[in-house]
Amino acid sequence: MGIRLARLRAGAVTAALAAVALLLAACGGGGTPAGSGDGGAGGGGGTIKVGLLMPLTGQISQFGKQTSNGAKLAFEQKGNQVGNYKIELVEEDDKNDETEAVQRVQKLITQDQVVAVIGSVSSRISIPISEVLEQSGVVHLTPTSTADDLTPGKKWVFRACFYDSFQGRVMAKFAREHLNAQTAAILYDMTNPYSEGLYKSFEAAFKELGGQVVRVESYQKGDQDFHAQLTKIAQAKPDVLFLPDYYNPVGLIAQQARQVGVQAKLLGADGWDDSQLYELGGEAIIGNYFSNHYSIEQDNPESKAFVEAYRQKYGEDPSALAALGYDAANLLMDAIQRVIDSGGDPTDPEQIRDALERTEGFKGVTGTITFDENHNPVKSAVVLETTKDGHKYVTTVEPE
Amino acid sequence: MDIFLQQLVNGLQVGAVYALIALGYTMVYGVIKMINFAHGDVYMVGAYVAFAVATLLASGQTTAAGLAIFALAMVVAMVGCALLGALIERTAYRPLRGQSRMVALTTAIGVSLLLENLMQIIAGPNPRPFPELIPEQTWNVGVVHVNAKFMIVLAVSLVMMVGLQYLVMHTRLGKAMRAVAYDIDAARLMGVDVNRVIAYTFMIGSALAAVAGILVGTVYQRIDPFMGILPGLKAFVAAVLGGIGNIPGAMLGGLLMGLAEVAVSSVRSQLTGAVAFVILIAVLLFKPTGLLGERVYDKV
Repeated sequence: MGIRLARLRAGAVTAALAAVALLLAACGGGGTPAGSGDGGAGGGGGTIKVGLLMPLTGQISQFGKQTSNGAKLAFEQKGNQVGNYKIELVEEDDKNDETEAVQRVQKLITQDQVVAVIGSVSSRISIPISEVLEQSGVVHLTPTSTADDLTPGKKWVFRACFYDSFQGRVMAKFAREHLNAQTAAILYDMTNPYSEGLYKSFEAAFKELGGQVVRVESYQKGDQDFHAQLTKIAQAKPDVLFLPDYYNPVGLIAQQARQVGVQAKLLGADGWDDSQLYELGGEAIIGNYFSNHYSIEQDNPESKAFVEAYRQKYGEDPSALAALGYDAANLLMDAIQRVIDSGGDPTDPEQIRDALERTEGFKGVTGTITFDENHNPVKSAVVLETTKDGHKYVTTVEPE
Repeated sequence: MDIFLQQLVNGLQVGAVYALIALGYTMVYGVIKMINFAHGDVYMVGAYVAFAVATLLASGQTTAAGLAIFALAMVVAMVGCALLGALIERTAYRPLRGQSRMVALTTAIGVSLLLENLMQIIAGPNPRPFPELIPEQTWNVGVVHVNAKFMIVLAVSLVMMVGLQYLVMHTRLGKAMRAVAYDIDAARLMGVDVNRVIAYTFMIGSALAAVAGILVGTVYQRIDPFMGILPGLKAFVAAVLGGIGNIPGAMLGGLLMGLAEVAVSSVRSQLTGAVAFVILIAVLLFKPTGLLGERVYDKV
């Protein structure tokens, strides 16, 4: 999920948080949460508390529930237990609201004393909470937030998904190598950093791979008429048209593009991943491509087992978000396991953080994960085709 | 040249929508000198009412049946919105009549937020695909693609404009409206039922918004609870540009706005969002009465 925040706001939130954190440290005479102390170190066992922060109500509640379901399935499969330690999940609802999310995280840190927080879905929320967790020295692992500037320079922040720049590169590579496209045009939402980030990375990669970007046009959030921009794009006759936005505007753009005679294949990113894309885009959206984190048709044993278990528990196919939630939970438990194996104290956030950073070749549902220096997983992306029967797996693009 | 003609058509298409919403704006302002910022949201409600009727009835129908459903949905939406307009006027605006304009303006913004959030609760925040009532058809006139649906929007706005102008200038109700617009107290002394005239004004304005709502739903085939905000704002600018209170002015302002936006967009699309507001500032600075709004007596 992308971000839609004014950067200014993030700055203000950060400053406020820094002040709150200082205050807390002064009052609490320590401030660093240390897990629930009763188990103590050694092999005697105990309880490790983990926070799960998701938008369970509000505009993107279905995304929150899917991600949360994936994570819970992972914990359940392990019997909420790692080694001799019991894992206690504390779930909170951030309502997809920055202020609410920060309050919930404060509660998780000070009251529940969690060692790690898994969340949230959109980068707009994950960025402010990452600032709090970074200050407090608690592990932050987001399953789904793709904004480039979420993790760099932060010691405690990790993610289980790839980031936007990589996604732009994937589609540029796919367009050049798979579709043999010579020319590309781009139409993006200039008021949405998610859309802008994708456009920039796609443009750079497409040029680097020897293609030509013939038109770049933009619109604003809430616009519903794109004829003027599309008329110019039609004139340039590109082989592909990149539409880095959510399914909602993309459906409309696809229809209007066909009306003014744009013949290009349409390309997109993970924002397309919703069945509403087909309702809003109709015929015009069929036969195009977008990148995603995961496909249930992916042919590996981890994925097959996961799809089976998820269907059994929830009675529906897992989405890419559910798969990422599942991977995030397993990444965390894997790190905790390694702390225990090496004789460390798994109630100490610092030791879990160190172990998480050293994750190497972790076999997840969405790919094999090793973290780079910015705590971004280096892993593959899938390209899906939009067909009359829904998304269809086309190919997997590896990071270079 | 081809691209110029095509962009001209695109501009008229966008402008026709602004014009349609601007008509309702300008009429209410003309009569009671109040900017009804909830107008864009009444337009949204109109689209949802039409959506409810259309989804109930539409399923793989013929073109003729589609048009019949379209007409029915339009009537239901107009009646529904007229009632909504009367309700808003009675409960939110009438108790504040006589207070300063700022009070009425603030209340209108409150009503606007109320409608948006209510619809979000009732229909959910996600956009809905509007059923296809009029089949997609693109006429190729020479090298230019013209969308048939947009021609319908343009035609409907012209009909509405003429009808409205007739109503205001040549009927008893219109005469009463002009009297209220000119001097509300004198009109009351002359035996005009001011409350009733103002209520009718809101009902007609809201019905016009409903027409805009269903047409936009049909053309773009997507509606959501916040669809009224941006077009409402731009239609307001269009009304100011044409001379707020002036009916042909609203039409002209809407079409000019659409053309200006597309013109800027075809040079540099990053700047499109600013066009409406640059126009607003320019009009307010250099010709506050708008293009057609100088003859004060005709203001209705």
